[in-house]
Amino acid sequence: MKNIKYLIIILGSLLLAWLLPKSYHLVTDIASPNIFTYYSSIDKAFCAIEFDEKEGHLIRKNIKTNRVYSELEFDSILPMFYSTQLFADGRMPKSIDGIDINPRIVNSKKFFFRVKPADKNKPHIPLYTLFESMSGRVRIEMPGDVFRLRDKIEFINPETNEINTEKSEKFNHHFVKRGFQFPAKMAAGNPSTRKAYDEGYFIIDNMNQIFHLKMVNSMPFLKKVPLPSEIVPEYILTMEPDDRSFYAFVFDANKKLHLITTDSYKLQEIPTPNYDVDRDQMMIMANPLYWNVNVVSSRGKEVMALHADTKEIADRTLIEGQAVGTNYSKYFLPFAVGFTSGNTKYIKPIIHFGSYLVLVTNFLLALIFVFIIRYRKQEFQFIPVVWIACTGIYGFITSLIFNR
Amino acid sequence: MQQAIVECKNLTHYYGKRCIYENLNFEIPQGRILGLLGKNGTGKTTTINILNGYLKPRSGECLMFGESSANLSPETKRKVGLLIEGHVQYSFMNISEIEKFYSAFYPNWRKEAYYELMKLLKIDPKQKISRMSCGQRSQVALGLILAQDPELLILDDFSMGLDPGYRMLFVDYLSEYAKAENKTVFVTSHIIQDMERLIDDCLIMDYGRIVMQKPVNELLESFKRYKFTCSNPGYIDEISDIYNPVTIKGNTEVYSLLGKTELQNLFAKYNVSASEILEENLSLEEAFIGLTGKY
Amino acid sequence: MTNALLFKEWKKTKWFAIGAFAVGLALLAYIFLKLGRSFRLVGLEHLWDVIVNRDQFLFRDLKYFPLATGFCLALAQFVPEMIQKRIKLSLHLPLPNKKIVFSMLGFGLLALTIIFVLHVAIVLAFAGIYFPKEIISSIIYTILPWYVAGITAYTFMSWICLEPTWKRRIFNALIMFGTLQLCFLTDFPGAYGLIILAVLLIPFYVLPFGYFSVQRLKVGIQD
Repeated sequence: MKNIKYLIIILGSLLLAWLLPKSYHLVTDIASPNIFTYYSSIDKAFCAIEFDEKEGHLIRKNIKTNRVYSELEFDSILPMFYSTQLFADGRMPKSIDGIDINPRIVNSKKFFFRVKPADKNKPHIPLYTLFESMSGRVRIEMPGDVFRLRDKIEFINPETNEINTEKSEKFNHHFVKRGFQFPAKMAAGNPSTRKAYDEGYFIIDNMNQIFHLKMVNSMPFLKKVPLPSEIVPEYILTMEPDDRSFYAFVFDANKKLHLITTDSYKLQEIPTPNYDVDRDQMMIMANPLYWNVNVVSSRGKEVMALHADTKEIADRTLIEGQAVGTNYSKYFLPFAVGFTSGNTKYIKPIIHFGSYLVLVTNFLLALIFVFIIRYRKQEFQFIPVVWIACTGIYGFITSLIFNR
Repeated sequence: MQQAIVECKNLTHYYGKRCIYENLNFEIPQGRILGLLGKNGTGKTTTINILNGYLKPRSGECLMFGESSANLSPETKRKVGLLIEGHVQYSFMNISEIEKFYSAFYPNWRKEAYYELMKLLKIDPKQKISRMSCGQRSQVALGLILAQDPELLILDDFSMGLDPGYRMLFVDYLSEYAKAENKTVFVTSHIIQDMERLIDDCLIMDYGRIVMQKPVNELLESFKRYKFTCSNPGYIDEISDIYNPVTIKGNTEVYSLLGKTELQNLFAKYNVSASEILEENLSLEEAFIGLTGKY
Repeated sequence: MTNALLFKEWKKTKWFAIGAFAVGLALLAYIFLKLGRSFRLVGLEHLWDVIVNRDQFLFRDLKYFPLATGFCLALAQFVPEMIQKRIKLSLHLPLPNKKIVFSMLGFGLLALTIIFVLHVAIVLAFAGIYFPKEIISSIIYTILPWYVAGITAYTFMSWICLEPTWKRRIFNALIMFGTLQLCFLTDFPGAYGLIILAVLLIPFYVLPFGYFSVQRLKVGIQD
């Protein structure tokens, strides 16, 4: 009887530990003032669009010199970002830093690459579409099957839900021949027909080797990427850039980022701010002159400008902003339970703890509770008092309601 | 002395701050039919609820067959037949289903007793109880209790919603059964006429207390109404053994357990000038009103 | 005796249980017809593609069916007990109270489980024809929390019905809504994959609550 009551109180407290901080967030959350940062190939400094609290509107400025620009001026300061606008206006310089600038070069070298933790941490159905890479057609067409990679590679025909044994064996033979160790740890590809060309999949096998899989003229193409021994790949994202200069980004076990280049699969390290693929967001905004590498983490937003050709650091800065994650009334709410997070699509319980000072609040609440049960002429109960001392306001509210 | 089937010891109950009663004590010996009489709100249902274990009294306890009523064992529950207020039964069953249902719980189930009563109702065995009249439902509820053959019957306000024919049928059946089988019965009703034909002992409650607890015969033999003319009725209030004196235009009515001679002696002692004292015998209903007042 | 008790529960809920099953079948028929149409119009290859690469889920219409079934079953079973305090009759049956209450709740759980298992079996049998095991397992992880929500809704609603006071019923309902939310946190297919076992335990955690309210009723707590 008493035990059931405690079960109810525990459940009620946990629900409050989830819903109270959530409501607190709903009321108090504010957007980060920094909206956009980009390295200016003209000013040779980071420029930003920010929300100005005093002015009450967006301002555009050079964050090194604090010079404020008009919208029109800002286009010319960031010619690579606003290239379409400048080409349309005829305001684009013919060359910058000795590099010829024309629409073809800009468009082929300009790309956006974004990685969010939730892209990696999400439920994924392990079926993959392998396109024909040399179909001779301009448009990529659906291949009529998908493959699975477990202890072997198998192609399945969606229309019949049956395995294409012949094709499976043909490919599997190749996998064995090339020394692929099943099962695969991950396969990265871009299964979309809306792209200029197809480079298939980059697959990490059970021995942490990377293989490049394509289908060329209906035949398997499987190549092992030569990896330096110190690189243990953890996560790969492929890209099919217009200039065909690289295949994929590799995040390794030492939290370093590498490119798999199209130059015989050579790896090139990309300097980045400290980055954790499971917690932080990364965005690379590339142009023919500089790569902007942005990392948003609990420290704020760190931006780095790299020379596009050498990937050497040209400049870097940290924009301290609102920290991501733990933000709730630390002295009142002892902890916060969450089930969803921006870092994962999975539902799983997460607990954030507040400050130790909340124990003072908890102790006071436990004391108030003791007085209340005295007033209600109930007998002293040890367990609810201890529970309130641990769970503070959550246990207090539920005990008041359910402990009569 | 026969063994008491029900024993209530020092029952005290309050609803919030309102006192229902304090230190209520009574027992029901085996084979007796005890009627609990009281106006609305004097705690009849409270007592029944405590007895059935659906209410925990503020203090005191109630024993049935020696077990605390708050926590009856299945064996004891099997020995108790329960009629809840309004003859409530599982109305989603029909009369043969409900018979089959209950028969599973009681090894001494007396199917014939139930169907004998059902025959009188002239109801199709497939008819659902929810479609029956209140009177018919009361017979189903009674029939089930008779078939259960319990040692103790607890009936809460059995007369509620019944027309006179069904009330009489109910009382006749019940009293015949209880007498023949030597059953113990605890019954409440607000129609006291019915009780007179049924009960052996009565427990009369008023707000916050018991006013009388006696066998009915004894009560009716000794509890009388006296009518007389009186010039100084104010003095009567000082006499403690007189109930509910009322004087209208010099004609006074009092109720008392005292005999006529004893009353006259008391009047003399308290200087009450009463003449033409008329002694009247009472029905149970009149006695109830005499004890609890009209209001 | 327990059989008789189960018979009583069956009498109360028979039409509801059959009805819920029929509604469930109708819902499945509707979903299957709708899917059959997509198979013809866009083809299975495209459907597989949007399921795998664009996180589409084909059985979203099932989402609230178990929840509604759980609510209604509890109401069908316990409202007749609470009207005119019929529960007093049930608790007076010559069995221990615990056994009476948990037999009643057990009946409801069993009835729901049968309805749900048949329902899920039909879904999976259908899906098994058109989809590979990878997609089937994603379907299971996605719909399971909904069915658990149905069973949880049943246990909570029984608790609310059996509770003798209205004030406490409201608090119970708040706890119910909070807890049920846990089964509907996201629409993303397979998102419960990591904690599915914990989700399965929720109804068992809640089950004894009903007995708690019966105990409150036994000591005569009322409005």
